[in-house]
Amino acid sequence: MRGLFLMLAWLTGAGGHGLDLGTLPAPATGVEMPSAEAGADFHSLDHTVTRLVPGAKLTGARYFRLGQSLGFQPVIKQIANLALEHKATPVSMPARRPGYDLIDAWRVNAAAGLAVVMAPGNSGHPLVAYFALKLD
Amino acid sequence: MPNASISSIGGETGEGVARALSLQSQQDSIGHWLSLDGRLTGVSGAGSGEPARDHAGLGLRLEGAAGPVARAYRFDAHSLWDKDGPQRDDIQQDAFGDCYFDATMAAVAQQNPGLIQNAIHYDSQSGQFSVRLYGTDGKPQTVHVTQAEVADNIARHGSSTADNSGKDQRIWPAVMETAYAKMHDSNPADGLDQGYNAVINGGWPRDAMQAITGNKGSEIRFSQSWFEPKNMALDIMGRKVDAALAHGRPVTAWSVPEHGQSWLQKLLGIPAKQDGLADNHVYSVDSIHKNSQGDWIVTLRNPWHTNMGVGEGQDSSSPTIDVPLSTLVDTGGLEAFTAGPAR
Repeated sequence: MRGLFLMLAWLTGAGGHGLDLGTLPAPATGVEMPSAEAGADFHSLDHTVTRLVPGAKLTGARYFRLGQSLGFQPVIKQIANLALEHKATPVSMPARRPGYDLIDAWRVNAAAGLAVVMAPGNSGHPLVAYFALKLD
Repeated sequence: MPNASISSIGGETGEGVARALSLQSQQDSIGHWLSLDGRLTGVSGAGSGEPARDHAGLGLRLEGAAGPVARAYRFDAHSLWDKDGPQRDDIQQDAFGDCYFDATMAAVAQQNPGLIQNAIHYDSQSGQFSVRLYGTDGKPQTVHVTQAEVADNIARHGSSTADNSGKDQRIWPAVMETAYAKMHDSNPADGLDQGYNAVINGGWPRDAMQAITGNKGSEIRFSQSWFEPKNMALDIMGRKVDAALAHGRPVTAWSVPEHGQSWLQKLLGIPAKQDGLADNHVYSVDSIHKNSQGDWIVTLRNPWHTNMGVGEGQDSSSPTIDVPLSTLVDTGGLEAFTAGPAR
């Protein structure tokens, strides 16, 4: 019976998760950096999240260095569409300054969220990080 | 003469001054006072308000030798667009989620650049730009955009290419986007965060068309009656888009997620067909034509200035993409075209 339910959920899309950090598509031209090797410039992105997303605690992270200069919208759009598809809701960030703080975040369920942050990086290779969040 | 400024002076002397101003503008976002013989005085305010004569209608008013001063600003009429006027390629959506506005600006720049040229005026005395936009009631509003607000838009990675090129050129999208945000800000004196937040989290193509042209335009959607062959319905749709472009109407395309897989496709592991467009996005329509097989092909321009990051298997660094109209209809990836007013 449970198997039938799971199959129905899969067929209707209701059971699809799709917002697990590990399954999110990498940004275009992004080369993933192992967390342990990510330097201080990457970890400044951690601070951006904790500074701007009220009550957020980081529970996971993926870091990327882009192969070319790319705007925030091309980086964020696929994730934003996935979030929309999974009925995740945008997290309000009152302290975010549009354009200066390149971050979007969504509440995936009552206690979990997802954030994408970008920073210019050096020599035209922007840094991007995806974060799994624990939210209040 | 609208949009004339010190940098639009013809002749050797004027061009020399313009070059001096341009050099200065690379260094500083704040205006300086400059005597017309090209010497930077560094004095603020002296003699600016007493023009003596209009010099050959070039928009520059000269004073006597003792006090010929005018203020040089980082941005002026010369910074707005190239000699060919506003171009669709002047748009590069970076940080803000206002594709609906950026794509509409691009469509208008392609089809009716004069509308944009007539909508933005530069005041060389104040250094401000005035922008005519339209409210939701269809009434025109004049929004004044300061030098600092333009610089702020560029620093925020707004819709111009100035933040990408590092050059204060072709800034009209920054000026217009700033005006649009300012129109939605109840207290611009404290910065435009509120206004930007109101317009950069998505919007409707028809609202942008209304704001820029004063006319919401009309939507072109696929429509097929029960007795009508699909090819005929597609042909009617293609002809409507073609006619709109031929009449100088700016046209945008609103993309949405393709139809998901059917249960049978899922069962068989067949992926849903993708159209190559970013979903929930707005493109400007460059052109439409019939290919040798008789299929309508639409050329769409991504306001991102690239098609990297779309993630539907056709990423490319080109800002344009050709898509068969039938693909847009079959996949359900097109919500509607929006065609604005004719020239």
